[in-house]
Amino acid sequence: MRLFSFHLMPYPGLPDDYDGPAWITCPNELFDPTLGTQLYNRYLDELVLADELGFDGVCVNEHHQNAYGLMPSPNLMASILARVTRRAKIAVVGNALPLYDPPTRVAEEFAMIDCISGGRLIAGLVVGGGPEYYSFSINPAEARSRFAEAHDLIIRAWTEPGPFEFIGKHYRIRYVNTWPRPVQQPHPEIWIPGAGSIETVEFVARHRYAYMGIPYFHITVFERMFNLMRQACENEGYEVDPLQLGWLVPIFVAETDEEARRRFEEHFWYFVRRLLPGISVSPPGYTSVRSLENIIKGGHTFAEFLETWDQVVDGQYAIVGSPETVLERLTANIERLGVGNLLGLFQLGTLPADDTRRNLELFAAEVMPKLRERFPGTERAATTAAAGTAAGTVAGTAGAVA
Amino acid sequence: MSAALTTGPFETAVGAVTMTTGGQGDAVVYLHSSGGETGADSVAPFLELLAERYEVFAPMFPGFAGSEGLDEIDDMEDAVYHCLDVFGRLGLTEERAPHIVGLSLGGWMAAEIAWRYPHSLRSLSLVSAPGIYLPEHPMGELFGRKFDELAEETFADQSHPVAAMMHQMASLSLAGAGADIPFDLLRPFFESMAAAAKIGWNPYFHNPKLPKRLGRVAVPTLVIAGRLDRLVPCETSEAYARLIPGAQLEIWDDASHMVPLEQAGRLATLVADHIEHAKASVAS
Repeated sequence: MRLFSFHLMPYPGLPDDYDGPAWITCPNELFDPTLGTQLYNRYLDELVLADELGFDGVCVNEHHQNAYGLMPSPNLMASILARVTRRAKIAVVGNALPLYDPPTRVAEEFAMIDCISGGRLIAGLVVGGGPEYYSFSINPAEARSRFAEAHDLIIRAWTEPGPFEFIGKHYRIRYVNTWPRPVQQPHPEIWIPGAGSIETVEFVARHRYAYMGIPYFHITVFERMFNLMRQACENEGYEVDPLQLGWLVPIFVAETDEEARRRFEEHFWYFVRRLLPGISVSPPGYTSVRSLENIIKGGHTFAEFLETWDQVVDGQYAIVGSPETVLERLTANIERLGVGNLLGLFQLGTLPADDTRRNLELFAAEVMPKLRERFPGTERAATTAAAGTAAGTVAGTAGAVA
Repeated sequence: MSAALTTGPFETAVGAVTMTTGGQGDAVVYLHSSGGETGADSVAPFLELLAERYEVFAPMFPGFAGSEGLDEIDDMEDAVYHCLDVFGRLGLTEERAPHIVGLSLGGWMAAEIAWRYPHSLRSLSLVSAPGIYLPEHPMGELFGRKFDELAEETFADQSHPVAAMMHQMASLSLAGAGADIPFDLLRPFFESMAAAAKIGWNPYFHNPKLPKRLGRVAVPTLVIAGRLDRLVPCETSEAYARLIPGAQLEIWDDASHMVPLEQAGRLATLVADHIEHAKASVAS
C-alpha cells in the first residue's frame, strides 16, 4: 500500500449568492487574486507537510477555467514541490494531453520535474475533463485519438534516441529530440485517471500502467470500475497488481466521530454543492456511446446528487471519524476494492488550514502506521511491472483508445 | 396522395449509410441537420411531398441513424467528398446532377459543395443554414444544452411531436431515473451530436473562408429562414442571399429552425417552384 495526499487546490471564496456552475462559465470576476496568493502558498504548505509526515507521495492535477481546482498548470506546482520536498513521490495526475500542442511539451516538463526531484515524478496522462473541451474548443470527437497519439509521442520522446521524425494524424514534428531526459529509466511510472470508460481501462491494462478511479461516486461504482480493470488485465494475460489501482477519497480524522463530522460536514457540502456543479459535462464524441451508457448507469450515484450525511457515510463518499473509525472504514474498503494506492483528499472545499493540518497530522500518527502494517508492499511485482515501458512495445499503438 | 418512401443501407466509400429514397423524376437530394431527422421518421412528410414530383434521396451522414464511416470524417472537406461519393454512386452526375435541399448543417454542407463544384448540382435550397460567422448575430449553443431549451429555440410550435419529445426527455432527471435511463431514446441524440461535433465544433459551425467563396456558386439558389429561429439567426441566411449571386431570400415570420418538420407543405411547394424555375432557366 502506498499513501498519497492529493490536493485539488479548490477556491473557497464563491459568494453565497452565486448559484451557477463552478466550471466553464463561472465568472472569473469571482476570483480574488489576494486570496489566491494566500491559497497557493497555503496549499503548497499542506503538500509539503504531507512529505514531512511520511506520506509516500503527493498529488496535483490539471483543470482549467473553474473554481473546483486552481491548477491550470499542475506542472508549476509540481516543480515547486520537486524542489522543496525531500522524499515523497510527486504525482501529477495528470497532464491533459490533447490540450498540449505539441505534446512534446509534456515530455519536456515532466522530464524537468523528474530531474529536479531526483526521479520522484509519477507521470499522470489524462484525456482531460469534459469542461476543458469547451474551455479550449478542442474537438471532443478527437479527444481519444489525440490522447493516444500524444501518448505514443511522449513515450517515444522519452525512450527513443533523438532526433527522430514523428508524423501522426494530429501531430507532425520533424525533429523530436527532447532535452532533458527523465531520471527514471526507461521513463517515470505512469498513471491514468479514468471514470469507467471501457476504452481507457483497456488501454491502461494493455500498457500495464496504473488506473486511478475518478472519485465522488458510490463505492459500488468504484468496485465496478476496478473489476473492469481486473478483467481487462486478465484479458491481457496477467493478474492486476494492487499497485495498478488507486482509490481517491476525501478523508477527515478528528479525536471522535462526532467531532470529525462537526468540523468537516459543512466544508464537504460546499465542495459538493458549489464546486461539483458543471464538472460532469460530457461533450459530444468525448466518450464512445457504449462507454457513456456505462458511465451514466452510475451517474445517479454522483456526489452532486447527495442530500444527506447518511448517504455520504453509506456510499463511502468520504471517510470521516475518529482514527479508529477511519482506519476501520479504509481497511474494509481497501480490501473490498483490492487497491494498492490510497489517494486521500485531506483538504476539501472550504476546509480551513488549521483543520487540514490537524487532519494530516492525526492521520499520519494514528492511521498511517496501522495501514502500512496491514497492507505491506510498495513495489510492483516484477511480473507485472516492466512490460509496456520498453520502447518496442509502445510503437504502433496510435488510435488504441480512439 | 403521397409517394411511398423506402429506407435501407447504401454502400459508400466509408461504409454503408442509411438512405431513404422514393418518387420519380429529377433527382432531389435532402441533406439533414445535426438533429439527424430521417426520411423514415420526422422529415418523411416533407420528403413524401417532394417525391410526388421528383426522385428523392435522403442519405444519412456517417454517424447519424446507423450510418457507418464517421471515423473517416474529420472536417467539412471530408464531408463534401463523402457527399460527392454518394452522388456518384447514385448516378447523380452530369445531366442527372441533383437539386440539393439542406437543413441547417445539411444546408451549410450543400453550400460548401456548391462553391467547390458549381456543376455538381442543378439548384440549391438552403434552409436555416449556419456556416457564416456574423459577430453581431452569432449562432446559439447547440452542444451541451438541455433538450427543452433546444426545443424552444428551434421549434415555433412546442406541441410538435419532436418538440414535445424533447420536453419529455428534459424532464428525466439523472438522479431520479437512475439505472432506468431510456437509452433507446437518448442514443440517437448522443450519436447525432458526436457526429455533428466532428464538423461543427471548431470553428463553431462556420467556415471563415466561406464568405469569400460563395461568389463561385453558379446555380439558382433559394435561401429560407424563420425569424423565430434562435439557434441560427436569420441574419445568417440574409448573408447567404447577399453573397450568392442571384439568390432568392425567403424569411418567414412564423417559422423557427426546423422548417421542414413544422411547415412541410409550404416548404415543399416553395422548393418545388424553385426547382422548376431552375430547370426553366437552364432550358431557356
